[in-house]
Amino acid sequence: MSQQRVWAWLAAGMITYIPANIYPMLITRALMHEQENTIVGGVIELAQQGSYGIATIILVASVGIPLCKFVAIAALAIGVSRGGSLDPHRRLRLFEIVEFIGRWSMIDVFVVAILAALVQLNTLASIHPGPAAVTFALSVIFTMLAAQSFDPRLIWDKTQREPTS
Amino acid sequence: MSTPADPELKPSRNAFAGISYVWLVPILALVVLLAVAWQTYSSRGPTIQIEFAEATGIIAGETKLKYREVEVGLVEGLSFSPNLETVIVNVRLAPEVAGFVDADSQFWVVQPRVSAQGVTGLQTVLSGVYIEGSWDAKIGAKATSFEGLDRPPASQKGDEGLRLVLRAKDGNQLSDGTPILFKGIEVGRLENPHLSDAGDAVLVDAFISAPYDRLVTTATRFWDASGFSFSLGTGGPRLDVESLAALVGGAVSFDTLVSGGQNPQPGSTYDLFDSEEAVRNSLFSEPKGKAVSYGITFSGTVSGLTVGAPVEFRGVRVGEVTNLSAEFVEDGTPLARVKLVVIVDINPGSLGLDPDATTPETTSFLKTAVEAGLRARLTTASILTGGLKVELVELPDASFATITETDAPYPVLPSVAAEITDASATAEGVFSRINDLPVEELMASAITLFNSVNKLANDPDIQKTPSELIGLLGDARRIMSPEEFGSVPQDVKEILASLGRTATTLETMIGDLADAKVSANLLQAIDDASAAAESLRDATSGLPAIAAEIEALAGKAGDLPLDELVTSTTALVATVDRLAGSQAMAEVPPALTAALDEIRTLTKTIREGGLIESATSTFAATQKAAEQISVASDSLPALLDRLNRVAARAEKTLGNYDETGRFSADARETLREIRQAAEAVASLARAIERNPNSILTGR
Repeated sequence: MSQQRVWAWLAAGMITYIPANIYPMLITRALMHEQENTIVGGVIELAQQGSYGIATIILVASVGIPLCKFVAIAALAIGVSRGGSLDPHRRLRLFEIVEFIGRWSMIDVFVVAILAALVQLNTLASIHPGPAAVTFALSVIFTMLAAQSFDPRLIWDKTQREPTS
Repeated sequence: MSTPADPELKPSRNAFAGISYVWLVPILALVVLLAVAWQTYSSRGPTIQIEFAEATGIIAGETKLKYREVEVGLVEGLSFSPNLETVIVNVRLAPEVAGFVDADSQFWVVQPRVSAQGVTGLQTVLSGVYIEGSWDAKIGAKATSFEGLDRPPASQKGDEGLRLVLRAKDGNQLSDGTPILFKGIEVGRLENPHLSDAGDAVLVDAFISAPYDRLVTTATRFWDASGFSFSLGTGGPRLDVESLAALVGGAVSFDTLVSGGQNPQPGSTYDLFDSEEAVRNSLFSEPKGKAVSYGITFSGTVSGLTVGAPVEFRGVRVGEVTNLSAEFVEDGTPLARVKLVVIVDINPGSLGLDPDATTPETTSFLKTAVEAGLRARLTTASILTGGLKVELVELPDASFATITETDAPYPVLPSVAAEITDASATAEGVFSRINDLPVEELMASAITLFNSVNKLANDPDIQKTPSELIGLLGDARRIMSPEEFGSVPQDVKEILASLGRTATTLETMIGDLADAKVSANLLQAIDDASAAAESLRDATSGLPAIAAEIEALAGKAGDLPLDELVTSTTALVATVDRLAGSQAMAEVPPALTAALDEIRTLTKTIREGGLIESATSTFAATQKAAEQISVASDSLPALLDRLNRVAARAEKTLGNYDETGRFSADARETLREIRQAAEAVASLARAIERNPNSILTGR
């Protein structure tokens, strides 16, 4: 059962991650001029403007970490059901990292929320969260649930069975 | 440590029993995602391509397509045409308008634009340019690629109104957005001026918005109201300016001056007249209906006749010249004759026929008129330019002629000789007549005349005459002085003999005088003068008629030897003056009187002295002498007569030279003096004739 829940949450997270990248994350309206930025578009724009540091942070937090989480959780789930070459200790360590880092993925959503709250100057300039902000938040939540529903004890099941078999 | 027992694993009884409810979450997410994706995809409109010469300010993903200022599309991308000549803008249309964007949609870029009519597109300074589209509410043929306009059209596709085409001679004042005025109110705009296919006119689309479009009928005339018009007529000078904007940016006005027009077809073509006046003139002269072509053969020159020259009948324009050509005609002579053929278009409507009368109908009408004397004639249209026009004149006296219908390609109207008032030819004739006048010969003969008169007056013989006369009289007085006479009564016989001798001498002298060279010379001179005067009069007989024209020839007259003439005349006058005023001449009458007095005294003395008897013989001799004086004086009247005649002629001749100033005055003065001299001589002669004895008798 627990394995199924992991897979289900993971699937939901991955599905919601797709529109999170397609739809704009941020809608900036400044004096008759409107701009919509997706996550990757914003990163590229920041990089073009020379803010490599921020671009890197957003890229890692919004693209790198979610993708890594998907891969890590999937790897753990596969390892539990079929066994794998990886040492159970390392798998446990991986699981702990995924669980720890999961909440930081929300940094993008927080940034958008804060900006949208702060920059509301009516006609002069305003920032609205795009549809991607919601789907991205959902994607992060689903991934966290997937990580939580993973039972680390199962990592060890195989190692116990192995000597017996 | 015992290991906990393995949990008992039971196989599931149901195929779905082991499936978690959590699976509903991803399924739901997937369904929502797919639904959103499908909705997004299905709500996308089609893309269209718009070609622009350049993409000033157009940014992919930002520039919008608007229809009546509402956003209906977005530029998705920019690319070049294959030959790099234009920019192709890809626009994603909103689905709600996609259906209406059909083949005659128009697109243009809205950007700030400053023109004579005002400033537009100012809002795009901040927001950036956008593409404006224009289409009507009808769904037409589908199209996906369009050509963008350079500038906004005057009217949008959906606007209600009337679209016409104006045809102008030039496009100087025609530009996009030029207003169309009706009684000074803007009711429409011009757009898209372009050349006609043949390049001979400028066509411009006109849009008159509703409800003013009903003001336009087929009888409406359009005219160029731009600039100002200045005219000088019977009512004084007149300056018309439509409006300041029209003065700067141009404008077109229209009015319907005659009734009876129908509603025009959209897109029909109207002529654009130069001015309102031209419009009013056109009402009477504009060709109506279909024109019928005729040929006219003119024998003379047609220089000055141009294509488009009017054909007039009783001053009303009935057609125009459409072609001029030369034709070789074989008429039997060895040399082919060139015939000038003028093709004219005559509007039957202008002649009072049905405007759509056919050629045979018109020809039969004209044939009747031609047989009654209608002829084509070239006349001057303008004296200044020398331009010609063709006039149809009615000459009932003209020899019979008819329309030649056999000559291809058009029936030929008979013509008569041109009536061309050629100002230059007339002036030329005047000048050639003046040139032909024998002015030089006249002057030469006048100079000769005065020279001979001068020579005569200067003749020493004539100048000596008075002094000789005085000497003679002096001698006579001395002889007859009473002192001498009185103191020697005894020598009376001797004296009488001497007197007789004197008388004989006197007789001889007078005889000499009678047939002397003097009078012969004088007569000769007078004859000469008379002949000269004759020739002068002949030569100048034509003068009075052209006296006025001579004035114009002042420059030429300056070259004539007038100076010489005046000099010689002056010399003559001076000589005559000198002669007449000379002491000797002046002394003649007193000396004569004195002589007569003395003679009278002498005779008295003689009478008192009782010497009459002895004097009888002397008296007889004296009588004879007196008779001879009388004979001599007989020729004087003839002389006087001639002198008078000459003077009269000369005066008459010179009278024609009234304006020649000094010459005339001098000559007249001379004449007066001659006449006075003649009169003095005449009175002397008359005195002698009346009483030849008075010299002797003293009474």
